[in-house]
Amino acid sequence: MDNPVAFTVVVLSMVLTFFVSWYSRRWTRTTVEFYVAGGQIPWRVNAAAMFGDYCSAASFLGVAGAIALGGIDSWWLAVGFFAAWVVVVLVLAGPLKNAGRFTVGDVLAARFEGSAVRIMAMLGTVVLCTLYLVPQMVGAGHLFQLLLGWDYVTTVLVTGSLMAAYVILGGMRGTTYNQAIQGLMLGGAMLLIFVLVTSMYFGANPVKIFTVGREAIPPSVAVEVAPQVLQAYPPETKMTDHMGAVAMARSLMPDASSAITPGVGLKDVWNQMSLVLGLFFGVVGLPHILIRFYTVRDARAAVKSAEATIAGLAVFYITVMLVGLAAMAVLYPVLMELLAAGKKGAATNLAVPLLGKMLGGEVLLGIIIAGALAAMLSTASGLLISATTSLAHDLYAGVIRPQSSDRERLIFAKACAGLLALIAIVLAFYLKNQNVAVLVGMAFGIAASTFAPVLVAAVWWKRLTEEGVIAGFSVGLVVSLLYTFANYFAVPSLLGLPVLINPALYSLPAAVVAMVVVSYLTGNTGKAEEFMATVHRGG
Amino acid sequence: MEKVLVAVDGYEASLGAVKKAVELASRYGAEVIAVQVEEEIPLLPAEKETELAARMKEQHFFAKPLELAAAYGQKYGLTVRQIKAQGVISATILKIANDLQVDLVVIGDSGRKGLGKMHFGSVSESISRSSAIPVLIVKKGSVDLSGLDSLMSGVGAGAATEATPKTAAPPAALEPSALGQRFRFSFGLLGVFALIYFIVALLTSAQFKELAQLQTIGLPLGIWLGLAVFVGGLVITRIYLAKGWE
Repeated sequence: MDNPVAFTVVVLSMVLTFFVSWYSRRWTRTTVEFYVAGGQIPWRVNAAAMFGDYCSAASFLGVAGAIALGGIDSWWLAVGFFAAWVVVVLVLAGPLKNAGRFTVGDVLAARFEGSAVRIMAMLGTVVLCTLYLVPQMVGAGHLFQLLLGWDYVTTVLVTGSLMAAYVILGGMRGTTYNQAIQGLMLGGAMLLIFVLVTSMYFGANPVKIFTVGREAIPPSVAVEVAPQVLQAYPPETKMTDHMGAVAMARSLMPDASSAITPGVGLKDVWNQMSLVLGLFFGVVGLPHILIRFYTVRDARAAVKSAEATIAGLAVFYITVMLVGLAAMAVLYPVLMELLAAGKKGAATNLAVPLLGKMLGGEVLLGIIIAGALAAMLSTASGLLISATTSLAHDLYAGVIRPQSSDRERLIFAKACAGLLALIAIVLAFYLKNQNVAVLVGMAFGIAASTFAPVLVAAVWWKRLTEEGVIAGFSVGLVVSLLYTFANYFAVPSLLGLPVLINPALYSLPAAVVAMVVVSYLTGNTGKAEEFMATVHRGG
Repeated sequence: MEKVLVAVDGYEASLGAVKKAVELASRYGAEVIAVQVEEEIPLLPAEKETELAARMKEQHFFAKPLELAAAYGQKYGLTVRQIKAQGVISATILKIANDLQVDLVVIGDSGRKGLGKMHFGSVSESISRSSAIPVLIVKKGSVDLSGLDSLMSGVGAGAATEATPKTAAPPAALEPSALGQRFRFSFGLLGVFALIYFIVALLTSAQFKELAQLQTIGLPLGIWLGLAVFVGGLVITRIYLAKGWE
């Protein structure tokens, strides 16, 4: 084992999380202080759980890593991850809470009776959750490779199976408290590393991070001068003069763009637009986030917990940007060496833990990995629970065996969870060198092209028909999957269109057009009046 | 003694408490107030379902304890006031007991031991510890429930009723103008936010990078604009909550 101390810290933190969330149940029963009786706790806990559920490997490892490697442009992932929540609050959170109980499929089924929309929603949920699971597996693979020194394939196999086992064997109880604690852990770990790096390397002045960023050439650009820089600043040495390597690369490439120059890392306007479009409407279509609104008492509490989450995300993503830029400067030779050795996946996903190790040795490495693991586990459990709930309710109980017992449904759901995890593990082998935030961004694109248009239209547009829902959803799903997999396997263009970093630019408009056109051609608008009155009540 | 509060949850111990409370109240000519507190925990629906399924397996679990208390009270010629509340169980029971100025709190003790007790805690213990009102604790198995069994079928097994959602009467049809108003409010704010977001995104793409790179108060304009998206998002959310939900 490479890092026994860090490993111990990680294991201890996990045991502590499980214990606290298990023990927390007695607080919700036997506390006698009156302030908790006012219904304040549930939405706050839910907000922390939403934060934990939402901040996955992408937010914790991916965004900062991408900034550390490529500069400020990658921050757009985080801006989009944030903005998407505002969209949820404005157009979906309240009505969604009023309409559903178990799955997002409930919302559609409440308006359009019959099993067609349910099956469609189930399929979409399963596909999305599986693809969203992949980056969690990729992140976990790299992380434990760093922690334990195993090779990537073994690590993904072991950590992926453990993540699945965690949910299948017991994750169903106390998920909310688990995710809430994990949310606090991952947020706390990020703030801790920010405070440490700023005080140790930037004279406790965050503005200096930008000063350094103005000087630094992103390692992904400066890699061509890597041999010279690495010779002068071998990465093994503990960095005391962190600006030395940065300054040397600058002197070798005086005209290169700096790390805080916007617009350099992005290919063109179409790629940028596709990415930001997919991100913006992504959360409106993410089932594992949307079902979190069902845990609170009413629509108002749902919206309130979303606002608290939004405030938390704002602080978190701004911190992530600063940590990413700081990591670039402090880890300059380390990142260069990884890039020069062709280990792009490790370089782009591990900047934060590597920074932790440099700042505080194995103990801090352990804390950071514990934070990252909290991010992955809370998201993975949210994803698998969402997918299995949908399989159990929308498919098994709704269609296959309506007379089945709870126990039967549970067994069916757990078997499916195992299968989905296996698919995600296999995909994670292929996508080893991708940045996890970019992978999550693609899942956002699929969500934005499937659930997002039909859910928003279902709660706001009376003229929407069942056929319109199915047409829009199917077109969005097929187009977005085609372009996502084309991107996964580096196909340059498909059907005469260039393959972009995110499928949304093609698939979202296609889905909307299909939905609207088919709705006007057909007549079954479901229980439009009654449904509208239900979802828009209160508030 | 004028008012007796009995806390019920449907488990065997609480059914024993119901019996004792009604019998005591009838002897003193007191009023019985049956309180059922639904624990407010942010559980996912799937988790709630798992827990309910486990509960149903318990012997003598009865899903409509309030109705049962009322039926048992009727046998003694008493009208039982039924209160359903939501919150932390112990705190809510104590609050109701204090607000109604009851003379006695009767509560069952499930007799959970070991891990079960550690996980769920003991409501009767926490109440007897914190209550300023006398508390009578009825241990599981200490009361013969045979008198209640016959009533249960009368009240209805009720096992399924808790599992199905409380369907409120369908709300009155929404005024078309009200929906339109909501639509304009929500999508108006969304439009403003989308405008900020997409313009900033466009400016920071490769085509317009010169503009985004303009030095403004020490930083490239693009970074300030990115920060503006965060500020804008927070402000718009606040406006939405303040105007739309207050």
